[in-house]
Amino acid sequence: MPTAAMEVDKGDQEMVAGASGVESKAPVRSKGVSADDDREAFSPDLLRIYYARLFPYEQMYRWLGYSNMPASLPDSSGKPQPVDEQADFFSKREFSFTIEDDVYIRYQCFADQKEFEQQVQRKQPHKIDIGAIFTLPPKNHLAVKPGAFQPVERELVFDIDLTDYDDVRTCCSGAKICNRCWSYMTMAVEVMDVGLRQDFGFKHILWVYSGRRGVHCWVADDAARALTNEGRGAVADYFGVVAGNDNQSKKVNVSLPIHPSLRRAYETLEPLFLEHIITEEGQGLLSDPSHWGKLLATVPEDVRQTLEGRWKMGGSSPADKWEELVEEMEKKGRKQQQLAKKMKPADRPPTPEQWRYEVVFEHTYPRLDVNVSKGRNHLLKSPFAVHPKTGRVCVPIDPAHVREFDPFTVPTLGQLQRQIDKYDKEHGEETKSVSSINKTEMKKYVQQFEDTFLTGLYKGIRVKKRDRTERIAAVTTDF
Amino acid sequence: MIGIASMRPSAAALKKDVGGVERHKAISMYNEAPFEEITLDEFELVALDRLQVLRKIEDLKARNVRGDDFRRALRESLHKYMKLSTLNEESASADKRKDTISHFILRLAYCRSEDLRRWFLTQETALFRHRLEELSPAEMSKFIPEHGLFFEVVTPERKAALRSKLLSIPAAPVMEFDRTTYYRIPFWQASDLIGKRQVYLEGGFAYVPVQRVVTIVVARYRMGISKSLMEASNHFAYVTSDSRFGPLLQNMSKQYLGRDFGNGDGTDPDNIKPGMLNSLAERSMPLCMKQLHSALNREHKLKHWGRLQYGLFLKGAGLSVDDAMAFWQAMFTKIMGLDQFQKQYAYNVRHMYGKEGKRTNYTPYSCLKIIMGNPPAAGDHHGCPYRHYDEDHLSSLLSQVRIGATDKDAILRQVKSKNYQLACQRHFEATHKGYEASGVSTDGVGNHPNAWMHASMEFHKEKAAGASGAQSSPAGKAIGRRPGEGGAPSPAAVVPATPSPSPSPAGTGKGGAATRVPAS
Repeated sequence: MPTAAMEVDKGDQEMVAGASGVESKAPVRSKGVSADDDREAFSPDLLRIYYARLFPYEQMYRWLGYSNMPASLPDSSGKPQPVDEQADFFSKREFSFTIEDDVYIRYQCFADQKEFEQQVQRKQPHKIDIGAIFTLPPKNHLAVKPGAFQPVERELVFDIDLTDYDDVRTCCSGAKICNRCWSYMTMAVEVMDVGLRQDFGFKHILWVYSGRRGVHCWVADDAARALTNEGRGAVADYFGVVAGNDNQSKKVNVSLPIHPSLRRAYETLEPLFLEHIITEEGQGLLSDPSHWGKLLATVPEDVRQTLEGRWKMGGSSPADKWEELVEEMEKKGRKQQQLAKKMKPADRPPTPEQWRYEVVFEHTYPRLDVNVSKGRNHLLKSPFAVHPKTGRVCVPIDPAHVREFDPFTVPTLGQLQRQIDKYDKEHGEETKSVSSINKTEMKKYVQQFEDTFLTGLYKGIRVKKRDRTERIAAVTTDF
Repeated sequence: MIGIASMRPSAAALKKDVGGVERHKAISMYNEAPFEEITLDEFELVALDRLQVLRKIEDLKARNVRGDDFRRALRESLHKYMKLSTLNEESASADKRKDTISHFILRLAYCRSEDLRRWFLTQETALFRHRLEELSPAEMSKFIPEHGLFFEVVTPERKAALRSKLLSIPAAPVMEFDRTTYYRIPFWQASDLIGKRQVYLEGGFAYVPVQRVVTIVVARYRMGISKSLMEASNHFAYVTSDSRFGPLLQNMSKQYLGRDFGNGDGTDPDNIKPGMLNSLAERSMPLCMKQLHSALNREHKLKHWGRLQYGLFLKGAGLSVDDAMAFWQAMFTKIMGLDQFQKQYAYNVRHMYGKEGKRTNYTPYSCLKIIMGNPPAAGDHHGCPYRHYDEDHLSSLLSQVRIGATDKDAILRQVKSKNYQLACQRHFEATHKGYEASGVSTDGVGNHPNAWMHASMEFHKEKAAGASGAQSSPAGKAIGRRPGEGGAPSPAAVVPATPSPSPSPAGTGKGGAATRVPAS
């Protein structure tokens, strides 16, 4: 696989997006449109203020610097193996900037927080991407012979984007989103977060709003950062259930017995399917004949006819319809049981149980852009960067409260600036000693970044450092 | 990786079992290169015998032979060329010596280029897997510690507690659950099983039954060999400078690579131009490329993998870098400004031609790569239609490109039995009636999209010219002949450039002909 080609590929997302920003036309928005919406959300001037007064350089540096401790794979007891500190660890991290007019600059790197801060303020990037830690500072990559410049480690990342749900979502398409389809992201975060923690044992997981129509996930555990490309692909595939392309009608294939992780996901997703997918307030899968027609196309002919006839009469709720459908499928399944036994396993129709899993998963299971996860040197937009099309900040999402997260309430640069002004007006002179972050909603998000992510991460780093010191002590005192 | 010393069976372990050697002891992970003298004749012979086996594996895979049929055929080939006897100590050690030496010779011969390394790695891994799969669970549980693979055994109590979960994994050992040893293995060592959800995963550990542990041992093996191949490639020039076995090594790897259409610098005979593409797509492209071309015409964009698959194909067919740039630009700028194209995509085009980044001249994708590679997701048009479309879509696509009912059924039948490449050959046959008589070589059709197009273009050329000429068919090569089914040069035909060596000891100065290959 030509990885170098992959590194430079960044066009697809922007291309599909077109020019439209976030739009909301759903009547079910949890929170109203704030008065700010008509005003400017993004401009070079606003960006300048943001980078000068609000961007959390210190926290970002603390995260990406890992206190100079490289990743090391845990041993059989689950403890990371001892590693040496690397004084220049942060400087080997690739950043890339997209500056005005979509000029893309790769292989940026910074010696420390100060230089990071200076360069961001000097270049005013419209977009900041984060890449891997390399064998040497990326800006020197041309000074060494090919092969000597290699990615060494990188957070395990996931990218989930609403455009990948276009074949099932009925409210919007392309770059547009609303609160109805945002529930796809909520479901994705819930399933992925539990899976990453329980199945893979990861602890340091950061969820971030991508600024427009999706979410990003950064896993910063040692075992995740040290993964090979192949290992990353395997983790992504483990979470891959919806596969297939425009030339395959069936996109989910579940085999029985169902894998424990999928059973757990189903238990989470089925109630959400009933709430967000089939209802009129949601995607309307079972409230609108044109949508249920698509679903009925996946069931045997006689079942389809029975139900189509019955549902035409009206009167039943989407939840009733789902129950009827499941019931009919089970009846049908019992009839077919004898017949199926005579067939080769590959030719057997899906059992009612399988069919049910497949339908729910097709509409709710997370759809990852696996290419982003697979390559160690694939770039991903930085947390706290800004989406130039919406002006919204890529703020962290607390997975424990993901259902309450509303992308439409994420502050834009314009809103943040007005929050500073408002605070200053209300508090007069004494505001000088208050940091700008604390005058705005940024305070909440930076605090959350610390509480849900950084604090735990540093606990782990301290343990690693202590183990290292103890080992050295043991060696030097051992005569 | 684990140190060499720890992977070696102890000397004591090698010497026991009078009148029979345990099967698992015959299998090597090749962690240490042999260090002994060997005649040049033997040097060549053992290597060529091993090549026969590796070729057989490639051939079986290309024909999609699986399961028991695969095992039976490979067993036969192994018996003929590379027995691993367990009959008695003496024959076991002779067979093992041959196995080890031949592996290291080929490792050296195939370390030279990326493609050769990949080929060798793929076949050797399959061979190793086959040998492990021949072991019983009991033998396997002995093999593991003997090769320094320290997998933690799950205690019976823990196993019982996890019972229902362990049994809800596809193909779990339901009947033998109580007797099955489970290992607790860090998830990153079980990538294969994790990616396919074929294992229970909890807290970062995969719970792997002994029946499945093969995959993990194979992954380790593969990683080790891959690393040593890279290291060996650094010494290739030095080793092959030896006038006695240098030419032998160079020749050994030459015969088995089909044409890879890797030049693509615009000097290829086909040398196509952008203006020809519409008619070529209509007449001379295999289905996968036809689909990419029409998607590009329709949507004026292709996603990443589509651009690569189609772009490299065009490069392989001789589209020059300037023409390629003009072509992609003309297509993409129908939906975007020139400015955007130049910022976001022009680099990609130059990159494909090795003009940017690490300046690798990428080779066009073969069928195998397309079939096994990244499957297309929503919005993608790359991939192999026979492999990646469902029957309904494929069937209607075939009708769309005007394939008759009989041919269509034949193609769909091949697809059903997962012979995607044969299906593609069938498509060629259906659209090039009379190709047998035309004398056009159809080598590689169904193995490489560029071969498909090349053959088709030749066919049409011949047809246009041959309206007057006689229809003698000089070679009339059978279509779909795969490497190894006759035709390909037999290994014995490899003639070393050096005069036939006398059986004098070759090991002078450079440490013996069985050259040391740096082991990991």
